[in-house]
Amino acid sequence: MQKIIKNKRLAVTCAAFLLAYCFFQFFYSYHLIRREQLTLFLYDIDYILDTYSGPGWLARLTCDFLEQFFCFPAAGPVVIALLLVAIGNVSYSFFRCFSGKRLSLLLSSLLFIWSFLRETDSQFSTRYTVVMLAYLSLLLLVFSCRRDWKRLIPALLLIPLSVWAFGTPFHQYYGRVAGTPDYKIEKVMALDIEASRENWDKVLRLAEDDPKINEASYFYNLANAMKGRLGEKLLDYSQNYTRSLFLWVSDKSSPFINSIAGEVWYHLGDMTLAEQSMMVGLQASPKHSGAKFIKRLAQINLITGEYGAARKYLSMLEHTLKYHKWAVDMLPLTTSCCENEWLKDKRSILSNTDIISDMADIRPILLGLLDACRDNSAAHEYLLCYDLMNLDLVSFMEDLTPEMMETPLYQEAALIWLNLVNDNDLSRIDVASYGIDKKTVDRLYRFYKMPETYRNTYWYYYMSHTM
Amino acid sequence: MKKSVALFAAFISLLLVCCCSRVPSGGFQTSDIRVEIFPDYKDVTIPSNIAPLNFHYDEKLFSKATTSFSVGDKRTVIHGLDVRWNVKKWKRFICGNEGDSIMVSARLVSDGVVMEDKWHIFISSDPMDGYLTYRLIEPSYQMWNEVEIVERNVGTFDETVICDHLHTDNSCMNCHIHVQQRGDLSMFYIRGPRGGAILNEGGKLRKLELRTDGMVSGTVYGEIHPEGRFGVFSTNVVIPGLHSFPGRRMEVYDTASDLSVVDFEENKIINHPHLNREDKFETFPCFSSDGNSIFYCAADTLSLPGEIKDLKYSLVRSSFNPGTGMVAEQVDTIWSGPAHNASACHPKTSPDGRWMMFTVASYGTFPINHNESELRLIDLISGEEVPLDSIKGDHSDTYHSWSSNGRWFVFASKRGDGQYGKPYFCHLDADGNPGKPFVLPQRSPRFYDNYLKSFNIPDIGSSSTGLDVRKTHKIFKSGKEVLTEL
Repeated sequence: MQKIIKNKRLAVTCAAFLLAYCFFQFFYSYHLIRREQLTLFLYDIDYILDTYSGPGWLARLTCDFLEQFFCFPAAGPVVIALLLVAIGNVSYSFFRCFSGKRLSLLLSSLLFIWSFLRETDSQFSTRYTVVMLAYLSLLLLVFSCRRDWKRLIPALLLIPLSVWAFGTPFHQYYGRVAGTPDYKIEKVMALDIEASRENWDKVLRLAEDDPKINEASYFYNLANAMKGRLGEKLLDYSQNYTRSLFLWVSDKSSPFINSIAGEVWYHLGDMTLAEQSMMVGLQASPKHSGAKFIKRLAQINLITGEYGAARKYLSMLEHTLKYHKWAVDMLPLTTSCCENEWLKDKRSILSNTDIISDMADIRPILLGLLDACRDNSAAHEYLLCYDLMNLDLVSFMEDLTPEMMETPLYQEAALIWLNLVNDNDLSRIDVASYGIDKKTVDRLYRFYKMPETYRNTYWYYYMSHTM
Repeated sequence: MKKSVALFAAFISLLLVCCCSRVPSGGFQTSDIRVEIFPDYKDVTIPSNIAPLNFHYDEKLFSKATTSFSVGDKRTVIHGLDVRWNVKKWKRFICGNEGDSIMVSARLVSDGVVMEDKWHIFISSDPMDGYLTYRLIEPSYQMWNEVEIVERNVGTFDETVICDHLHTDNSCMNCHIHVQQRGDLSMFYIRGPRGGAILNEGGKLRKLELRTDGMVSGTVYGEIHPEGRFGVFSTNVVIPGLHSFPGRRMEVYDTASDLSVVDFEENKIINHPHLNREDKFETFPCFSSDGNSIFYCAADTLSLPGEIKDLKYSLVRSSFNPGTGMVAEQVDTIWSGPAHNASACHPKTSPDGRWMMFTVASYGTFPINHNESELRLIDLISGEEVPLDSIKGDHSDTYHSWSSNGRWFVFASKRGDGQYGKPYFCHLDADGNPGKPFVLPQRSPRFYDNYLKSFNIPDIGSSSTGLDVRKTHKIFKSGKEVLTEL
């Protein structure tokens, strides 16, 4: 009989493990990968002693140690599933101390589900689950010793020790009371993570269904720009004026937006704006030391030739599990005599003039980047699209070059401008001399008749924002 | 039997020693080289009350190290690549050897080659004030999160948090300054709607709204008069901007800046018209050590940010009446920015009145991101500039503070990594000759390698401020004293 009960318990445990594992592996994996990006665990005894001191040190140490593995395939879901089934099992044993099997199963299942849901919150840390598991285990120990005072007293003495090691069991920093899966946030995190890995095809695949989130449009635009077709694809997707092209670091934006705002600038070549975003992201990460930000800061400082700063960040990453090899490979680049192809490419698009911008003035920054490198096609496309999203056709025509006229979007915009400067009479000019296809002109006339069928044209965008 | 066991044990021990030490078959080679230590404490001049100078060798280069320290008749040997002292042992070692030098000998093994190096640490007989306050914050990019102001006992590794984000609704806070290095008279700001200027008068805290309608902003930079009644402050419309040129990061400039005198006894603010001119920027005011003058930086107004590279502040002086708080209209130029094609910032006089130290950058008022920023020293008796070239770092040196005897100063330097400000102490002899600066010692020799915050505005105090987060939380929650314009 006991064997059957044990097997039943094992079966429930396995089912719960599989449920949690499958959910976090196949439907919610990027939340866990992001946790790894926001944390840092250095294999350095001084760092460990300095960082993990004071109340709650063991919980923080365990959490950071576990979260460093979340970037490896399946590791995060396995760890979280194990922690959750441990909570279920320990709580079941605890409830069994004073209630029947069914009630215990019900209560422990509720606790499991509650913990599971809390794990889906984007602000959640593995530490909270570790703390809960530790205190549940302690409660179980105390209750299982309650009839034997010789064992009970040492068990009770463990409580202050636990407060020291795991922190107080309840306080405001243990996340929200309840959590529910948010697939929009999961999508945006996925796009951010794949963009930082420069998996542009995957970014486009993930963004395919257009969830109509501004951050998704931002990454969709970036991926298209990196593939040289920003103008071609811009209006196939939902756009929120210029805000889908550029995000701003600001105290009014969320920490997440602040941390992704520099991604476009990193690829366009403005390292100051890229660094600002990473530094603000670092400030907002739980220990002010997210690995993702430190890695990007190392790259930025290598590109700008700030070797001292690059060396500092790389030396830190050298002591991590995931970034060790990368940091070792990069460290030789922290001297002016060493360069590689990646560095050459990145440096070739840097600005060579110094203007001081007030951060909201995009055009001078992009023009500066283009002045430095005419081949910076991503910056050029961003400039043109920025003009278009701003409905600034005068600047657009100034910034347009003949080789960009192949893109239908730019032809559509040029046609509006020509129409405007020729008093709505296109027959007076030879549009072909501007590089505009006759088919585009024919389409314009069809658009006039049925604008609703041309929703992904610049004419429709222009019309809906000017009328 | 016992004898054979002992012999066997001795044999095994010998075997173990031979196996464990990685001696190449050809034996040791020796060479004398300059071995780098981190932080660099070679040939520095230190006060006798400083905490142990813990450092480490490069573990990628060396496998073993033995470091011996000797001074007078004392000798200590520390084994290992990390050289860490016990605080008490260090104090005993230093004690009674002021004016003498510690001789340090290092013997290191690298790939079977033994290397030796020697250097000195000079123990000055000039004492240094025992406390240092600073703000810990990520390198400036306009925003902040979880900032704190800390007081450090420089003789040990003990820190006390004076004010932090947990007790002030994550407000920004800045500029903790001692009045003439006094721990019982100091001031700092907590920003935000519930913040204010927090004045510490012998442990009694006041929260003040240092702004009236006629001022362009609340007070920003400044100093309190040695007698404690008056303070002189700048009011600045501060604008941040970002450089497009790689590596230059953020620039901060003022589109308007004036000076105001605050009377802390009468709760009045005096806005002199001649210190509130529209054609001049005035900023970074401070008092002379006797309290009879104010120094500040001034420049002609320009169109910013377009003309920022032409913005050169001069260091000027005006007489101050400590009885009335009036500042004379007559302005003497101490150091001309346009003449030097550079810009003066953060002036502070030494407590003995002999020296004026300030920061010089190529332009503007934000030298912390200017790699060329350096400290300059003027002898106020002769009016001559005294060279400080030997202490210049490869990145910005700014925000200095004097010890009360004028023989030590601390400054924030970004040398090395170029990103994070760290407090460096420097000795200055009676003739204005500086020693080699050294970074604030930490318990862990690798502290600065892994630390991701800047030590902002280090300020020396002769005694503890006695402040802590509970006291500042209480004053943060209380109402403000509103000052009126005289």
